[in-house]
Amino acid sequence: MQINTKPYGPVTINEEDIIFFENGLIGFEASRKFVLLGNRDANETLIWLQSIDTEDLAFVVIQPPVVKPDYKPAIRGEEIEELEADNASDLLVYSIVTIPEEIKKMTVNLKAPVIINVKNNKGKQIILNDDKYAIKELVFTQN
Amino acid sequence: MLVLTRKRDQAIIIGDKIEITVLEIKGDQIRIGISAPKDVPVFRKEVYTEIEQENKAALKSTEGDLRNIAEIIRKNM
Repeated sequence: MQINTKPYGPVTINEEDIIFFENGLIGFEASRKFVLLGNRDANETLIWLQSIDTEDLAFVVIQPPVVKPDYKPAIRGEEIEELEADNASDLLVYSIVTIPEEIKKMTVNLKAPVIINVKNNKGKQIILNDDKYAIKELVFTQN
Repeated sequence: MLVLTRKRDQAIIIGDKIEITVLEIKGDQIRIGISAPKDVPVFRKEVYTEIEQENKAALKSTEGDLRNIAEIIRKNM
């Protein structure tokens, strides 16, 4: 099917690539269907999480260990179950990236990661109880 | 919004599994105890609101060649 995307205009996607967020994203609960755009393998540092229905609803996401190598999100058992996964290692974890005008001030949201079960394409944005992870974690530390 | 007035040590039950108790009142602060099943997340509202706002801010992310930005990140790490 063809969808309109914010970064690339019209793009053809496969139905089986659609990720279903039962509760949408925080603040965007009505938007349930998303797709990951861009090469999913580790070489593509920044990719897009694009809403199927709303062209402008697209987030840049990154795998958290790129910014925080020792990132260990404590995903709750109930959250793993909700996505019908067997354990946390079945889940892909992404952080939403905020890129301001000044790129050096780029931040990632480590506190509320997006988790996806690749086996059934179910996703959820969760809020970690941990105080050690910030909502606005600077990508570039001041030198 | 349902509005109830409680005194210290009084509680409220929501549904049949969530219980909220006023533990302590000190000046303009109250300490609230929340008893809920593990599958019900409980957060201070500010955290939720902050995340909502951050998601909205993320939407305004400067487009531009992400490859350039990715390159900068890789060189920095």
